Amino acid sequence: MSGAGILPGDMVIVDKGQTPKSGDIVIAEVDGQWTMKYLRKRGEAVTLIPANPNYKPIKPKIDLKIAGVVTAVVRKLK
Amino acid sequence: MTPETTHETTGGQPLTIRSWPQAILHIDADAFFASCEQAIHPELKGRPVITGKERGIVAAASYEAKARGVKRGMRLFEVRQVCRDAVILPSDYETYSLFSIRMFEILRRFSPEVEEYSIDEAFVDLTGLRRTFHGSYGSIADKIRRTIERELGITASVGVSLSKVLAKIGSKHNKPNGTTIIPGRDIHLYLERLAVGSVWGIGANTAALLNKHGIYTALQFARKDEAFIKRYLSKPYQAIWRELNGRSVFGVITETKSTYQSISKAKTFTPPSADEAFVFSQVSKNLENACIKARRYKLAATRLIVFIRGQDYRNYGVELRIAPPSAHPYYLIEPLTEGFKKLYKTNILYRQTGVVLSGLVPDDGSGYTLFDDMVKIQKMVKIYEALDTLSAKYGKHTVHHGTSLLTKQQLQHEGDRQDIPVRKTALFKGENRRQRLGLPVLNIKV
Repeated sequence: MSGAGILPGDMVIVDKGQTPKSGDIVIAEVDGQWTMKYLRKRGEAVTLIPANPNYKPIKPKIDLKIAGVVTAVVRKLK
Repeated sequence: MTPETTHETTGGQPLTIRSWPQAILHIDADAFFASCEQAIHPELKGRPVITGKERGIVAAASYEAKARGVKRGMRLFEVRQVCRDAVILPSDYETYSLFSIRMFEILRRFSPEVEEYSIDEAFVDLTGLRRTFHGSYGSIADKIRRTIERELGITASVGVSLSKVLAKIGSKHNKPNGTTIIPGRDIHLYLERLAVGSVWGIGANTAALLNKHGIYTALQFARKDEAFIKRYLSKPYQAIWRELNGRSVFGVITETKSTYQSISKAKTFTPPSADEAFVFSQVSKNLENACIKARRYKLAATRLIVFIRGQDYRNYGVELRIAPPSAHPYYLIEPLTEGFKKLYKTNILYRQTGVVLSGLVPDDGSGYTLFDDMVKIQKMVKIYEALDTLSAKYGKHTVHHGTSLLTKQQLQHEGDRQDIPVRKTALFKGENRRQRLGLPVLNIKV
């Protein structure tokens, strides 16, 4: 998610109580695989958009579970 | 939500016709420790999970494990026999208490009157909140349950009734993840099939006494007349009888616990040891820990109990008087040493030590006599204040007594590295063995 300013090793704060909205960064399980992506909702269709434009958007085939909405990123230097 | 009976066929007359003179909710998290583990390790959802690895016995079992016959307190080798694919984890109390705090916080969004009864149980007074939440007490209870499930990823069972005793019967009625509402006119239906010994507060002895008088069910007990109750039972049981009849006696206590009868600290060490100096360093550390807690609550001990447990699980203990009352190890080390010498025998392997500070009195400086060295005592008070300040800043035991030093020979459960929860080993930058962020960590790698 470096396109969104989240680098490997960073800690993200996840709010499990929020209802995810289009445009939120979410932690989600797509077809058995955990991932962190932008959420896009167009009517009934839900797509996960990677921050890196070189990767393709993910359309869940079987199921999508959203564990929470990412609200902050923490990068400790020492 | 109501039992499989109807008013007409069984139970007789209702115990009370008043539906909601007050509404008390009891919430009990389902398989709490195991559920917390499943919440922070999503890959464990749906699998039999057991906590208590470091103890060798089951502390909590997930419903998947319970379905396979795993019970609380079972030895772990027995668990492996009945449930080979069980995931056995060391207890991570740090995470469980973070979940607990969050659960109580959710309850306080609904009512300010919340009693934190234990790490995974609470009472909430909902009286008068129906208008605020635009619905029945049942709908408020369901809303609480759903909020906890959504935000924490764990489930809880809820009972709502006219008193704490009845609310507790409700929360047990439909586990896991259930809501049970017992309005006044339905109380008798729930008590009819409940053994009197299953009522909160009625122990085996009282149940046996009641059985002698032909009382077997909670309903038979509730229907007894007051004269009988007063003749045979003491005050606390009279209160339970009133509560069963829908008259609330036990209020919801919102203050957090601020006083103690006694404070105990004990610790098991693996592997067991027969080394006198090492075992003594363990009791010394127990004492330091107990004193830290006593000082936090501004209490001082008048009695000190020392105990050590052999590998054969036999306990050896001794009680000593402390005068003047104190919560400073400097003054307690001497009686501790004296007590320890009485208990310790060479060539026995010990696995646990502990101390109990009892006869606690407020530490307001009133317990001294003319012959106590007040100047020195005041000095000690200052030294320990400085110590407590250091602990708050740099972590517990930053400075400790030399007598506790040998405990460091053996890191916590060095016998089995897997006995340490993940939270204590997978650290973020800036965290250490003693100080970590107060956030539950979701173990997901993306």
